[in-house]
Amino acid sequence: MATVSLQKERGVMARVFVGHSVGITIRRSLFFFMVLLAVVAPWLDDYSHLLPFPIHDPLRPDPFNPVAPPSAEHWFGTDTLGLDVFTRVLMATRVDFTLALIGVTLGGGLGCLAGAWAAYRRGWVDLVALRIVEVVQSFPVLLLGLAMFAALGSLDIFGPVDHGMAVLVLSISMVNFPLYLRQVRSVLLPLTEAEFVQAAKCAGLGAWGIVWNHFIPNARGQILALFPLTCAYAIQIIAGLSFIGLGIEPPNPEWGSMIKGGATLIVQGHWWVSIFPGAAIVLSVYSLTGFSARSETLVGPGGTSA
Amino acid sequence: MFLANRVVILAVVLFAVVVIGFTITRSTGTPLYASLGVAVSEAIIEQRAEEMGLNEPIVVQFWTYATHLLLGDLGVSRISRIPVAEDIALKLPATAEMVFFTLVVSFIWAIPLGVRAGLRPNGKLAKLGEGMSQFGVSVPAFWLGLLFIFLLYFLPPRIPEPLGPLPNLFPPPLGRLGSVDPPEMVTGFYTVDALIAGDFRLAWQALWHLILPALTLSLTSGPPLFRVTRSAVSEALASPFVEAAYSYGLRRRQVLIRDVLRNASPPVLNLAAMTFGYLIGGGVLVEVVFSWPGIGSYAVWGMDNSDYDVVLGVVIIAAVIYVILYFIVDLIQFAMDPRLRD
Amino acid sequence: MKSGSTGEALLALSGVEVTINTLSGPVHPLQGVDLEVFPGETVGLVGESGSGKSMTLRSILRLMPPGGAITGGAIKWQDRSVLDLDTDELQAYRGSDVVMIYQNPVSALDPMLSVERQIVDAFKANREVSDVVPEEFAREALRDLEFGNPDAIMNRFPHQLSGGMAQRVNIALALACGPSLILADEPTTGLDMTTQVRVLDLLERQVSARNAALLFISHDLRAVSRVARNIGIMYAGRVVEFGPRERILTEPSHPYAKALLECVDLRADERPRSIPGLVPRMTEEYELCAFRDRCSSRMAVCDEEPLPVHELGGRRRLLCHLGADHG
Repeated sequence: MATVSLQKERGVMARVFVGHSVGITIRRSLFFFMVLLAVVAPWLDDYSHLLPFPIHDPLRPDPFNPVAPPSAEHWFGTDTLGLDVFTRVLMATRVDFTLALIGVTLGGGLGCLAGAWAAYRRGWVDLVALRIVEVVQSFPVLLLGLAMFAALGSLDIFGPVDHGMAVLVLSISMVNFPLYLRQVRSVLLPLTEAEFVQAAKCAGLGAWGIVWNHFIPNARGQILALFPLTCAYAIQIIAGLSFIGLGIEPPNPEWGSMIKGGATLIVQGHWWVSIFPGAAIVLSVYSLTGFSARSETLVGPGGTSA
Repeated sequence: MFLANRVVILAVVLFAVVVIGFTITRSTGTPLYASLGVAVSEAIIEQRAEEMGLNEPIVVQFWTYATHLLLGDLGVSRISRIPVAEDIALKLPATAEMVFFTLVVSFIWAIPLGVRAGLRPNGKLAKLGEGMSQFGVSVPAFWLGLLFIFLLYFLPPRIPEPLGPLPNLFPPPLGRLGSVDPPEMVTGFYTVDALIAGDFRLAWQALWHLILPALTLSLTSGPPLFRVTRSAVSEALASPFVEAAYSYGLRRRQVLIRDVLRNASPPVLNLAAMTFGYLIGGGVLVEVVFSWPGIGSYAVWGMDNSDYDVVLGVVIIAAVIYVILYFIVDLIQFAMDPRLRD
Repeated sequence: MKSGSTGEALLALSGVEVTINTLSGPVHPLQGVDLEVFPGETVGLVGESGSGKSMTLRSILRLMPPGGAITGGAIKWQDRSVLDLDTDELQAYRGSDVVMIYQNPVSALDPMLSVERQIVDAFKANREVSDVVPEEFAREALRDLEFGNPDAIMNRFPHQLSGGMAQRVNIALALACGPSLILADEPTTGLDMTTQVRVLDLLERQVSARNAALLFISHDLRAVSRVARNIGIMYAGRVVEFGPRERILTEPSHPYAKALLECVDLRADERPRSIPGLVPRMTEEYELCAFRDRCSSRMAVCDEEPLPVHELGGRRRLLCHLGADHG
């Protein structure tokens, strides 16, 4: 407990970086580096003369230079259209991170509220919530996404928003909703009988007031631990769906659709078109999970000596 | 009591799956235009709508849909004109075989490493297992498949002298047998069917084609198995009855098998069965990468052709298989754990 | 009297130290335990929780928790050194020589195995099976523990037993190993009052019927004095006073033993008492007396010189600067 309060005295950034193993610190720094890239990505091209690496227009093909292997000019080579893979891998960070963030926040937020509500009301509300969770979770994640695209495929309901991206975000939300519902509910269920909740009820605080003022703060730790994991998961789902041509349409840069673009080239040995975007996924997932990985305990349950 | 509860849950989930399937079918925009094309007259559309029962009240439509579904009617593919159920029946064994061998591979690495990591949490093998699971959860399965194809299929024959050129280590990623004729269908598992036909060469071929997809799926779906095994073993190891068993002078081997592994196995088997059920529909991308003719590839094919009955058929079948496996897992649990039997 | 110092001790601990490495640094639950048990006698150990009672029993069987190790002293079983036994010898020593009965009877039984299987396995692990059918033996063992219908119990699983029944099964299991010494780790703590008395009586009778020795630990001086002829008082990882029951119960020498006795020996009109001060932290190693901060007889020498060991004859031993007969 002492360490917790000690950490609270430091700033947020200090808590993120200090007091962890070297590996965790590296993973977290890597994550912030990727976020930085995602933020500045649109301006990179304008300032390319200042950068230590060669940046190209991610959408302007070079028809005389398709499927070129990595070189000083094209660090990660070019794809079938002659687009620069390195630039596109950088640009895709923005798309993948943003969609994952929106999707998880939307689905996770609703899941948290529903979970808190289920824990507060118990009884049939809780029962219904659990059944919903079970139903949604009995669909394999990618098939759920596939079904979403099948169902919403020809509906024009998102107005000016890009259709593919909107369905991607909805799919991510759909996957995250039960995860957060379940987690929050299991944390809060023991609290519903707790004295402070009873006191709040007596004080005339409404149901939503209790959920908002007492439940959500109590579940915050769990939610914060789940968040980076589910974002990492969401990045994989987005890439997976794009890999089968759903969501983000080429030539917009996105890791999954870039891998798809290079998939058939692999058997001919043109590995760079697929391998680099995939490596970017691995790095982002790995760096994100660095935020909830608990360090292994020094003395594990080694059992009795015999 | 426990089982009765489970049956109810099974029924509720199945019902919900059907409802969702129905809703999605009805909401797929304009199924009529989709199946007839745009250039048809109002009258033909109206006639077709009548034929398809689209003018009936929604409840009747649902009833028709549900009863058809229960009778195994998942609609007809509008591209191939083959009933979806027939196609799925043909392709399901391919998926099942791949998933089965995935679990075989996982049982070779994830569970032994998990046991070892549970027994010796600071040992080298524990670190290896942890490293492999870290890698497995970070890597997208479809990309790992491509990486394997490059490293293990493409690269080896191109190794320069004196080592190369080597023969291809693995077959090209072109499905279950490449261009060879499949064995006569009995179980639908090519390995098993080839053995039944007495053709060991063919069985070996089938197995050879299975290795890379199974390895890919196992590395990405195995980490939870590793972790659950590790924690189940270490939890069992730390329990008082294990210390008691040692104090009665039982041999370490006997305590590990009789007490530790026995008590650790229910959650592990549980997860293994769930993984199987999940991968039936969850291996879609790996099927695509290896051109594996399973239900995942079928669903993607349907998606590419806006053939939504195909997509929904696969989604529903995968969900139903998952839910039924969930139920079977409970039955196994029930049989294994004396505490649940009361 | 069986407890005379004649003959050879079955078990002798001298200066046993245990260190456990935890995430927050080393802990020293045993800091030099001296203790002897003679054949067929019953010895009791009393102390507050954290005084090292359970760890003493575990060190006798060399069952250490994760990160724990016996770091000093000697444990002798008859003429052999327990700490030098190899894996096979240790396995043979556990069960057939020394066995343990645990505090929480239900969790000490494997939840996935029937009572019969557990008794039979313990029996087979320790005895040459020749003319005795193990199942028959298990039935007899349960009958000895006053189970009216052993066959019904044999097929049960631990969760189907009450606490008292489970503890009787544990006793049957322990006795099935045919040990010469039984260690009992607060065997009746979790049981209700009437069951406690019954289980304790049964344990005592069955142990003495087999001429086995019993080392019984409890935080409850009254429970210990019911069964034990010799009693040791533990404090901060040491047995600070040891002697015959009558002596310990009537005129203890160690200030802690006195204080403990006063806490137990309540009159109806008195309010429950406790010893002032805090239980010492076992993260420290105590060279000096660990009780001196709470001691009413503290002297200058207590803060200066290490704790002395006074052998007082008649198996009496005292770890205190006050010495032998200060009244």
